[in-house]
Amino acid sequence: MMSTEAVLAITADSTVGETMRAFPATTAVFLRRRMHCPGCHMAAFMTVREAAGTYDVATEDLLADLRAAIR
Amino acid sequence: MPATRTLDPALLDAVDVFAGLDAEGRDRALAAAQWTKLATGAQAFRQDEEADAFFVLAVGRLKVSQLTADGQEVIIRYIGPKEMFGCVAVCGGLSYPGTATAVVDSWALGWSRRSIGELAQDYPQIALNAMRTMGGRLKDTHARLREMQTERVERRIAHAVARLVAQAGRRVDGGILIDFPVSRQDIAEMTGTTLHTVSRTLSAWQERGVVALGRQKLTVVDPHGLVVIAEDLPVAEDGR
Repeated sequence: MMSTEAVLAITADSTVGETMRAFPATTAVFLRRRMHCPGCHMAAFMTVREAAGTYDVATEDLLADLRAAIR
Repeated sequence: MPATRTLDPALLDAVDVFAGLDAEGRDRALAAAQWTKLATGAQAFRQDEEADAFFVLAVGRLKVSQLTADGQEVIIRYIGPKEMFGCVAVCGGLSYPGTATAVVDSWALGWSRRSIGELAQDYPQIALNAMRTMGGRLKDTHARLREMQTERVERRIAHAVARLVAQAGRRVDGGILIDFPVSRQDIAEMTGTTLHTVSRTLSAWQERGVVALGRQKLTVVDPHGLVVIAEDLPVAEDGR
């Protein structure tokens, strides 16, 4: 089970849910990439790496976008 | 496209609506027919207009579409060569259920409601043939309705499973386990459907690798796949 506490940094193993909860600005990244993570029941269980794989996006690219959004 | 067209009598032989007519009947039908040229984008008739003509497409392709209340176009069917359209004009007193638009340059043979009505009086076979065609289309429509209903139930079940995941999901190897005993009957009651439908749906999902089933145990193996079903998301070309 992933941590439900706010994460200090976003990693490939962060869940999508905790990422969006800790850093609401990252929600826009998922929307812009036409990923359906915001509002999804599965977001709490899926890692950034898994979400990237599901949408055929390079994990590093998605991570870079997410990190840029909270800078 | 040429401005006029000569009529090949063999066309009528190939059209269901005139099947079983004797030579005289076919001659009368041909004499009453008029060519209609439909350039791409031209409309043979519009939805809700009084059905005053009946057509057989000779060459080309048409789409029959309806407009929703908010102006969205829904295509009901495509019409190809030798197919009838505007069949309701044979019955009389009805309006066209959709708008027929040429999607390529097309030629159609048309009969006014009056002339097809007179022909049908003398040759009841015409009316029976038109009924057979309309019956076939109704059958198609029913099949589509059934598909849509089934799809709706499948989406409801997917939503219910997603809610259970949100409520009681636990990450395990190979997916997300719903971490309490959940029976198919529970899901049937959550979704207002039958045990049988839930069983059939879950089994189909298991075969597609969306879920794994155990005794009172449900693991979502492909969370995104479940959401695709629940939300009716577009599926990428590679099946993702």
